[in-house]
Amino acid sequence: MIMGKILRVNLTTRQITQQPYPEVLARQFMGGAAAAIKLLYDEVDPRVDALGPDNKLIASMGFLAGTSAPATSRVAFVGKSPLSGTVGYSNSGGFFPNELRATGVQAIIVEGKAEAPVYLWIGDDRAEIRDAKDYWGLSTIDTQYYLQQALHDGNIRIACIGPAGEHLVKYAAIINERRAAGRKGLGAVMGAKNLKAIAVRGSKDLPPLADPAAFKAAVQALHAAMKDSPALYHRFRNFGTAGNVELTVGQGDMPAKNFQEPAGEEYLAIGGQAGTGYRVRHFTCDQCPVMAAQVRTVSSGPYAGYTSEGPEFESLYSLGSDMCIADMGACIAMDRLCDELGLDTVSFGATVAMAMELYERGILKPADVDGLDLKFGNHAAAVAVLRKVAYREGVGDLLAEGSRLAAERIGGDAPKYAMHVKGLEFPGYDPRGLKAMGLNYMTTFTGADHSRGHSEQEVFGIPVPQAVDRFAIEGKAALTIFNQDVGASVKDSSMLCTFVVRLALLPKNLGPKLITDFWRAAQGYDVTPEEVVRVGERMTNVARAWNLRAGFTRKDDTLPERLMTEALQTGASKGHVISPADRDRMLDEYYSLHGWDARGVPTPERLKGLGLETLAANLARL
Amino acid sequence: MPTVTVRTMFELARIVGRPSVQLTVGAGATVRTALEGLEAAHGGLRGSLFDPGTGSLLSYLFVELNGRDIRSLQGLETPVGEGDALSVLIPVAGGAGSNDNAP
Repeated sequence: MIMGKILRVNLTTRQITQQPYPEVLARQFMGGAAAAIKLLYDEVDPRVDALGPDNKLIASMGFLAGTSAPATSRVAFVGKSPLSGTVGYSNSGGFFPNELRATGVQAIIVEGKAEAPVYLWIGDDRAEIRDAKDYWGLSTIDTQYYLQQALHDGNIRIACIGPAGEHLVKYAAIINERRAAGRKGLGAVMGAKNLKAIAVRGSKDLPPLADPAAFKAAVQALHAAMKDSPALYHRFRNFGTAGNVELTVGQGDMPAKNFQEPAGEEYLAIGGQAGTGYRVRHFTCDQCPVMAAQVRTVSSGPYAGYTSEGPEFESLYSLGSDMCIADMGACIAMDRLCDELGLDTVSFGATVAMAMELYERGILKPADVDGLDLKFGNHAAAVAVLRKVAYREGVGDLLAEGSRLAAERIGGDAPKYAMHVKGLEFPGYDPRGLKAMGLNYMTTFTGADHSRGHSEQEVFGIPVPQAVDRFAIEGKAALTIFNQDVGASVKDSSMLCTFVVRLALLPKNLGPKLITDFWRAAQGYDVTPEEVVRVGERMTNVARAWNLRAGFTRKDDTLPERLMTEALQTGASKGHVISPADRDRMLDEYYSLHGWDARGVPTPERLKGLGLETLAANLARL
Repeated sequence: MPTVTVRTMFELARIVGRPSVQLTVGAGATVRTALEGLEAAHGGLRGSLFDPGTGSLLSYLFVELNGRDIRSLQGLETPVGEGDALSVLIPVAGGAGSNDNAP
């Protein structure tokens, strides 16, 4: 079996153990996020305090990490989200994942809480808990630099938190190199455990492949599909995800002004084309030939001197249009500061956008926001708030809670302006003009998440399984299940990069077949594409079951009132909402197609069909 | 004569000169004839919209009429009229895939 070991680290007892990768976990969940979510289900009570010692942080790689397959150096971080209370899952690329895999480790389970700040130092077949007091308080970039210096090796790779994670900001990120496992607040879980960083250096070979020749053929097939993509090595490399600005402005689906309106043509100033004027180089994850990351620098104006690996599209929405900031320099500066201080750009920007609306409506007074003129478009005020959030100073302490909790504390009408699902702020696709995306936001197990079940057909026009009318309700339940479950089986188990899947595999529906070929060649399992898709179905159902046990119900599978009642007034999606009736119709159909009852609870028959009989007993008590 | 708005992006917008333009079309116009009209008005677009061999849209483009993917309508033969908005989109972070825009 190609899978490496599971490293279990208890920070309370300082005990470290290793165990072989369980065969049943590999067979049923393949690895990556799917396996990590099953470990969460088995080991973490859904009702624990996300920032308490009983929550766990699981870092898990797919079975392709460290192999010759391109675009697979990715790691899933999983734990209970302090922001939403749901399953928390965020992933990151870069070089850290392959380096960790080269130590012989497939997954790390971090338990308990250290008495004082520590870091985890992992090498070939060894791991230590070390004192991190000298690094506590440092930015993520300084933490990585000085740890490499202290350990006398510039090739050590480090995943760490910044001041935001230390101060338990509910949307603190985990940063490795300049990459972020940004969403869901798992950086705060690290901070709550007094775990500043995980440093890794490995040199081990992977276990032997079951069929090296077949694996090589699958690698060649993946490269061929990537080369055949009309966009991957051309436009995507040139513009990066920022090119989505032009697309979503054209569709009228890029939110602006806290979802009060769609972004207009003025936001092309923060688009992919404009971004090329700021680009100083391309960058990449380990073993990826695409090099789509855009390193951009600001050479004039108030933010001159700021350089960031980004901003990606979601950050251009959250740091840009959602706050009415059509200024690439300001977006680059805030992107850099979020990475340094360890904040999720999406939840930060969306939370401040809500605060800006509350300020303009007079719900938040100047005295409530430390005297800042927190009106839409004031990027200087946004930058000031960013620093306050990371250190929980003044109004930053309130906004560090995320939009849902902050709005609840403000009270009155404030909650109706908080744009989130289950506490997770929206990414940059307004669902009013993208109905399957809306259903995905309502139902995906992490809240308003674009990384699970992204509606590629509506946004990118990918005609697989078929071309769709993005305004139609009809058929969107089946489409969402396809996007969630097939997407999970292809991406969240193997951890193959989402952009390679979207640009090279999905247009030809090659994903399940190619992952099957890889899995057979690597593991020696005699599996079919249908069985690969069942891995994604298991992940969806296990996560759903955990969330149900945490107390989430059908009433949480919904959208903010604004998206159900206030139609867009301009742009190509003008006139559209997802009404409560639309929501209920899509949910009924979605639950039914999933084999769930009308409450959204997986039936015993459905669980048995997935080989998950043991979950049924837990759900029977709901 | 009916007028439609045509929105383009990236290299297409550069050739057209701005992200969106008004285009006058004839009676009985379709998506195809509207885009051919755009091509005729901006010679630099020649070869940037249609495959010269097959006459179909280039594979990396997808086209929306009033926000609807024309493949869910009547493809390139979908009628267009006064006030319609036509978007020629290039999904750089998502592949449009093989593009059979015929009805």
